[in-house]
Amino acid sequence: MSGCGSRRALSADEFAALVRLTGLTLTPGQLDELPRIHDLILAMCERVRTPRGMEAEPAHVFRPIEGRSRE
Amino acid sequence: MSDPAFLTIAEAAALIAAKKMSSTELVQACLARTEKLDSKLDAYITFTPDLALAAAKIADQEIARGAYRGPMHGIPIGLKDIFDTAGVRTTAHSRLLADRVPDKDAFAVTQLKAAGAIICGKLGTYEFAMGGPSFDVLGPPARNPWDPTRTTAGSSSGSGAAVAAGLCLGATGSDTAGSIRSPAAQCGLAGIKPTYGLVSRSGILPLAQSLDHAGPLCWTSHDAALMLQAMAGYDPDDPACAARAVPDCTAKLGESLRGKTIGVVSHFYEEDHIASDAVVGGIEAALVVYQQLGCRIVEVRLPSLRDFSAVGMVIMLAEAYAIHEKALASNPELYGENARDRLVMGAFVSGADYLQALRRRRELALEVHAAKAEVDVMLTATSPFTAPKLHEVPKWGFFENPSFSTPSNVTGLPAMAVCCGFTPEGLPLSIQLIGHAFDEQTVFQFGHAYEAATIWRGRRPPIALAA
Repeated sequence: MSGCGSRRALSADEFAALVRLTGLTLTPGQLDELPRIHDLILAMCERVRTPRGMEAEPAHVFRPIEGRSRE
Repeated sequence: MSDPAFLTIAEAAALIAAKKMSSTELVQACLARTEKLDSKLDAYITFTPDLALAAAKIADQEIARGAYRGPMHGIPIGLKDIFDTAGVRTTAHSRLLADRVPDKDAFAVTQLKAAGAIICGKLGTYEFAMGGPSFDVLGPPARNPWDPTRTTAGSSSGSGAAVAAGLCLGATGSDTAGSIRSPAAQCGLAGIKPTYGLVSRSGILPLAQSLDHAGPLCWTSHDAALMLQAMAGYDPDDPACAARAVPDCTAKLGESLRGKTIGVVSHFYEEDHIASDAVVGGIEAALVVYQQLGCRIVEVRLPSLRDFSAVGMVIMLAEAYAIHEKALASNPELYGENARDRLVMGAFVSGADYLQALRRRRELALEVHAAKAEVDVMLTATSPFTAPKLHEVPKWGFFENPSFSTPSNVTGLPAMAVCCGFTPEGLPLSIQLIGHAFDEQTVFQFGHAYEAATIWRGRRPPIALAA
């Protein structure tokens, strides 16, 4: 699913289609109200992206579980 | 002695240790006060007076035979209703979990019980620590003791109301984006979100695990130090829990602040989200007090509040949606409108959005780390305004305006709300002290010194005094 990657405000029909992809069933009231909030989230998703080259992407952390299970 | 329910934990502990007051007397005072007041405040969602009295009796027996455990022994507290309690329902204030009775205590609850604390019941919360204040959930929202027509803020809403009104001497809270500090601010309390990893979250219903913190709300900074001391500790069942010894949270209480440096983050409340004149006035007056205590005041510039809020919101929505995805699809009618609609927004955050937010989080943490190198604590506002009327809290306010609390959730730094006075209408004002990671001692030192130098801890809500 595209999520906030669409980077633009959605029409009512597009938002309804996006909702269908999530598997959620929203009420008419939600379908009327939530696109405005979706626009706010889009702006936040844009804001967390800072310009950097691929080589500068920091690694995510995963720590393997050490030792042997006692069970 | 005045009403024991208005004692601080430190004062009550001294009396209990000296056998000048029993735990039973203290617990009875709080229970009686709850019986009188809680129909007006709705602080508790599950009140357990019989369990509290039975535990107090055991505490008194232990103390009588010399087995005093320390300053939390025999002290009545309440638990936010997302902390699991064996045999007592834990609902997150949601119809979805109305009948959920855990078979095991949360780790932090186990710690508090081991320290001898007496649990008086489960305190109301915004639904799943996110959706409130709401009237369409398992119970009504808590009301602010300073003006019961107003919100306590949230999400640790019952915790704020209960401690301010003397229904208990301390309460647990959780804080994903300000949910300890905001109710502490609006209810006139000391509430600390400790360093990420200091207090285990195992057995606490999660909102967003990489931002969730647990901590206490109390009347004073000293009390918060005592209660945090009991809550903290390494727990292998919480992968984020720090495998390190818990420092003595009270070690620096009473030490002079002379020569210490406060970094004021004024752009948060003067530019990024302009606070009310009353809030700014409270901060400026507090800075004068700190100067009189010998502190040097410098300005600290951090990234924009909107950067922190964007990172915090994207991470919170994604993590919370992952938890609620199934129930939102299968039983949306069991959520209140606020929680349901806010949680649904996580469906529209992509994997790439989430990872970008995590990367930006690391950058922000490094920028803050560098900016605060020369100061002992940072100081800013806790909330931009005093408590609004319950029915006037905007549903999307947290999405529309950046929060002063979020930076410390994003960076994991300890941050404490401290009451710094009252408006002419009698509503509390608050400063926020932000420390270095795992240096809660200094945060408590600054909070305690301010409280000792001012008169605000001598004032209680009129409704509580009349009870």
